Amino acid sequence: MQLIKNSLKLDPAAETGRIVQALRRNVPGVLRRRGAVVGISGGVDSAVVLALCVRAFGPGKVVAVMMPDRDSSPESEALARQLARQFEVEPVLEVVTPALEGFDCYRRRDEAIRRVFPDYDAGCGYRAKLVLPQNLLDAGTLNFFSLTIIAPDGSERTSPLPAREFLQIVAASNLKQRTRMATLYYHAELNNFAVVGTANKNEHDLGFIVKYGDAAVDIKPIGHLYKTQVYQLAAYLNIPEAIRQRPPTSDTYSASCTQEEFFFRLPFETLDLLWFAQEHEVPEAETARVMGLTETQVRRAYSDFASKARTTHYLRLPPLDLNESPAFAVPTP
Amino acid sequence: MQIENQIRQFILKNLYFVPDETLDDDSSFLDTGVVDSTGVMELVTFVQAEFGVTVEPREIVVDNFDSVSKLARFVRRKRTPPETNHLTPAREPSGAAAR
Repeated sequence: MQLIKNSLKLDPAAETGRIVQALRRNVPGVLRRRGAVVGISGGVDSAVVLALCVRAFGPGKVVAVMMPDRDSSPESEALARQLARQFEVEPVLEVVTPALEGFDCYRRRDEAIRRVFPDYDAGCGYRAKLVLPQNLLDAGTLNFFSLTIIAPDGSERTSPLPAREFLQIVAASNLKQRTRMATLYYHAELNNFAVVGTANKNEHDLGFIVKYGDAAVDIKPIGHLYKTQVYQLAAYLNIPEAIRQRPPTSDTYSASCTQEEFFFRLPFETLDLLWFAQEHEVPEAETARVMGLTETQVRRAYSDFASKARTTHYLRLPPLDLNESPAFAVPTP
Repeated sequence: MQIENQIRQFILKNLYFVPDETLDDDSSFLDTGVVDSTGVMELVTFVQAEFGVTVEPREIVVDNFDSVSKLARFVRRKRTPPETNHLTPAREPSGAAAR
């Protein structure tokens, strides 16, 4: 296929109509549920999903749940409340900090951080985040996480993360998404509603998602949309400007961290078109020409997407049935 | 080939996900999915501990870490004193220094 700079431009009215019809058809017809539960974070994805659900079912059949923890930015809740007001949905506040403390989420995470930075102390105002190298196109850097801590005086230090500490920090932090999933299903079962997912295609297919955390939903109305397409719908659905302008965050670590810093390594405007090109097998030379990049830069991006998709394939698998022979087949990238 | 063997054995024992297949020295870890991002971290830890070299974040690149042979060449370069790097080709260390 021919790649053009507008390859990802969609008709937001038509796409909205298509998604709304699919929600109306599947939630009662297939799932046999009477409405929707949506976790709203103050971000653009959950805002779009809330708007779509209100269009599909009406505000009276939508439960919007805000689930901050002690690391969440206060701005997130404020934006979520603004969104809920606009769409005439009364939001439910579920602070998940006590549940996470019960899971020892913070202690387990901070223990690993202190093995890298012994002076790290969240109780004294230290904050932390994980980051990947941000020069994906310009250097053949691999997806190697570093840990950045921010001291109370604002000074920052960064260190490469050993594997053991990385795994412990991620495992502890993923308790947040799994706790939020359980909370959403409480409200879903309380109301006989469906849990409607808010992950977009980038998150789902490249693996910025937690197995049985935010990946555990009943229906995924924007799971096929690139991030830049979500923004197109957001503009059409009149999502508050403050939400549309806010950089997407990981909303996981105590230090402010964008999704680009933590996982995607590219601005979405660049990533989406490159990834679209790779998925449609556009030759590197043509992609380079259309996007004003070198073939080497395109090759690095293609390789990163393939690597992320392959590495995170298991996140999207259902439980393996050992009676089925393809259970251990390695997926073709 | 000792460094290559040490690297290969570490990967086969700790990181390799495909059973009953040999690991080619020149196969790209990224292209074949032999090693994932966590595996890269483990390779860095292994290389530092096993060969006594320090890996800078800027050195964690495809050219150094994407195959057994590339990683072995990287280790040899790191173990060669800087003043001799441009004078002699990379070679296997002598018995006293070798693990």
